[in-house]
Amino acid sequence: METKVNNMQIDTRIVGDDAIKIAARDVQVYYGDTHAIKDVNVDILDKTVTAFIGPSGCGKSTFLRCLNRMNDTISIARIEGDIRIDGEDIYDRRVDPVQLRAKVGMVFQKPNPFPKSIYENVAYGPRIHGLARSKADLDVIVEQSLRRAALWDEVKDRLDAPGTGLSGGQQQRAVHRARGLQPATLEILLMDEPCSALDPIATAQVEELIDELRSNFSVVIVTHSMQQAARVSQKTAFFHLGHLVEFDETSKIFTNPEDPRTESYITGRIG
Amino acid sequence: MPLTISISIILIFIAVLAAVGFVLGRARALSVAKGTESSLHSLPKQHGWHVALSTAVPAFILIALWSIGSGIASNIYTNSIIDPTAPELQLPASVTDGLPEAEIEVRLAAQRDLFVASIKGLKAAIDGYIANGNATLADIERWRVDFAPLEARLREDGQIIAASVSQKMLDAALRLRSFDAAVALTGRIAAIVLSIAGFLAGLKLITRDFRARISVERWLIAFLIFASTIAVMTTVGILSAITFPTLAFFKEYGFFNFLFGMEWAPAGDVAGRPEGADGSYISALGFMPLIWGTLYIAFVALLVAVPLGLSAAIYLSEFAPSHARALVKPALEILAGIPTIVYGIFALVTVGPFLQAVVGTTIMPNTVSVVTAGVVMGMMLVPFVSSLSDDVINAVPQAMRDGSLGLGATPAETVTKVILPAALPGIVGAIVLAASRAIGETMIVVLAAGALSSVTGLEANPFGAVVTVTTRIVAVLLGEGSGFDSIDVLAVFALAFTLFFVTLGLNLLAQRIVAKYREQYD
Ligand SMILES: Nc1ncnc2c1ncn2[C@@H]1O[C@H](COP(=O)(O)OP(=O)(O)OP(=O)(O)O)[C@@H](O)[C@H]1O
Ligand SMILES: [Mg+2]
Repeated sequence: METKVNNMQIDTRIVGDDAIKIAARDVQVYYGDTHAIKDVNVDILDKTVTAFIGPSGCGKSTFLRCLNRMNDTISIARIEGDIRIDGEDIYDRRVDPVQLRAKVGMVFQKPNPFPKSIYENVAYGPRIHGLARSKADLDVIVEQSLRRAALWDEVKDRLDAPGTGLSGGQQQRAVHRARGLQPATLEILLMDEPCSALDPIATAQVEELIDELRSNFSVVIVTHSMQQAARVSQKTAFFHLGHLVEFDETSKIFTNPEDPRTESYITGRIG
Repeated sequence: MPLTISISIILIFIAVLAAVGFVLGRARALSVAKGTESSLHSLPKQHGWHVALSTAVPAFILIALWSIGSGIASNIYTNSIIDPTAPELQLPASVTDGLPEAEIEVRLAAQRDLFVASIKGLKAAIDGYIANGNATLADIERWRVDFAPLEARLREDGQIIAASVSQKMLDAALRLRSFDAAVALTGRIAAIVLSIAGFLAGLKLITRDFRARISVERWLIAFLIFASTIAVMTTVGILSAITFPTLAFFKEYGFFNFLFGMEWAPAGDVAGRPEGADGSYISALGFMPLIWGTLYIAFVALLVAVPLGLSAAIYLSEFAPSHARALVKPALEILAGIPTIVYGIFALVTVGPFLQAVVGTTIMPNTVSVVTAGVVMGMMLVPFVSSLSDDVINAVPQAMRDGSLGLGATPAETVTKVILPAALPGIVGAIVLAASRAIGETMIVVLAAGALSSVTGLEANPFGAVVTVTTRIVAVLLGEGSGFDSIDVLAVFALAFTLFFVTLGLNLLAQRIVAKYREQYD
């Protein structure tokens, strides 16, 4: 562990503020009898993009969901260990998960549009956070958000049509851009395979967005694309069978990994 | 004495032959394979099944068809052998006098049907008498000349014969008896022959390439189709059984008089009023007061059941910790398992008096009322609504909850803004199904809605007594004084018919709503 913390310290290339945002210690997650996350220790920095990579089913989403207590919604999930955000234990009894999630936002693997119109889908977040004072305000926010997703021209004539009518990629784009308009409380953004349904152009747009977000937020992104991890992240964590095998500078992971399992994975021999 | 083979022996024979066929078929398939089972197209046991099925199925089908056909044949035969000069077929001049030609025809035909029926009855009685071991056919031949002992002995043995026996009747019955016996014997021999043929053919068909598995699957599919056809035919049967009397009623009473009539006062049910061919009292059979009472109670029931059931479902699926769920779910299931008559008693002895004590006797003169029945029916429907809603709420993808919670919404916001809108079509479907149950429900309303035998107009007071469609069906059918052919009873068929369509319509509507909902999320 110590060596890795040292590694963080020598990174002066991109990391502007090396304050530790999230500190996880000895985290275990069980789904009933399945031990899905084993002894994970990790420090995630502020104003940094951290990528989680690893073969399917290794626990990336599970660990990500621990960071804003989304696993609370799964009745069989049990979490042990200690996760602190800004030094505060997020599993403390006094922590309100709703408030926590306003601070630690999440973009899901599946875009899951709500059973509402396209307009209402985009307006959902701003509405619950009271970002708009009037209908006109909200109209502006929705239009802005869709324009930034390059979706405005595609959907402006059917804002009242159901959100489920958008294609998978359109849904993902709409969700990400709606995320771009954050409540003032947002500090950390967790993104679970945000580009899984996107074409290369839209993917590039999302990567650009992530890059922008880095100046104000701490971003964690789960991805199956090594190229993407290499392009957008400064730190990379490699998960395997529930273990955090290696966590280091992205450049180090992809050029000179320490663990043979990491090397096998990035060269395409595991997974 | 003619040769008879009892049907049970035939059935046992075929079953045993089929079992033997299975064993032999499997053995033969194995020997054809010569040790390399994989060279067979189908497994040995599938060959076995194929032999067993080709032995049994055609033979059983033949037996079934034969028994239907022989009934028809014996009818035709009896009609053909009866002597038109038989005294039972004649109408006395005193009756025919003054009747129009057509009416005489009808009566003669009825007379003839009656005679045929009594011949068949006598034949059945003789069959039973012989089967009981009381006499041989020879004995009965001897009594031919003297009916008195025959008739007396048959009755003494517990056999049922309607008419008094005559020479012509007995002649016909005995001829019919040998005809039926011959037909049955032919059928049974044919069944045996067919099963043996199927057995041999099945065995002979076994080769390496014979596709026994596919054949067996076809038999299976045919059986499944047959089984589902029976369900459909039952529905059609029920429908046609109520349709014809209903049409007869509409013709007699008038469709619009029935549908929009504001008074319900069947003659047979109104004490002291004779139902008159002489016009002294004519039934008033208007549908309006009944459907009004029915819908009024159903409305009150839904007013109770929907908020309670839906809240319970939301609590259970979204908020309840597992130990609360473990307590509440079984409790709801018990509620669902209580027989409706028990709810009815509860309404009558507990809820009704309680309501009366609360609102006073000026507003609520009786303990039975719309609210009494409605509230209790609502309680009955709570588990129904909650378990259906629970299902649809649970079917809302978890991803949708996550999406909302991940955006920082509270659980309450998530329920009202995301989950309920997503589940709404399914919930509406559940409510429509509950409405359909409320409308068809009988026991609770019989006990708790009021037992007025006649009503005029629509009762607006929710604490007043009403009549409903189902209670009137029960009352008229069990009521004294109404013959089964009276117009009151025909009206009951019309009520049943209308009720059938109302609930059918509601169920179809619910199904459509639910199906639409499925499309969205599967
Ligand atoms: N709700 C759940 N209930 C039970 N087991 C679960 C649940 N969610 C995940 N798991 C199990 O936990 C393990 C880790 O799953 P997780 O979804 O975190 O994998 P992942 O790394 O995100 O995979 P992918 O790349 O395919 O998204 C898997 O073995 C999975 O089967
Ligand atoms: Mg995942």
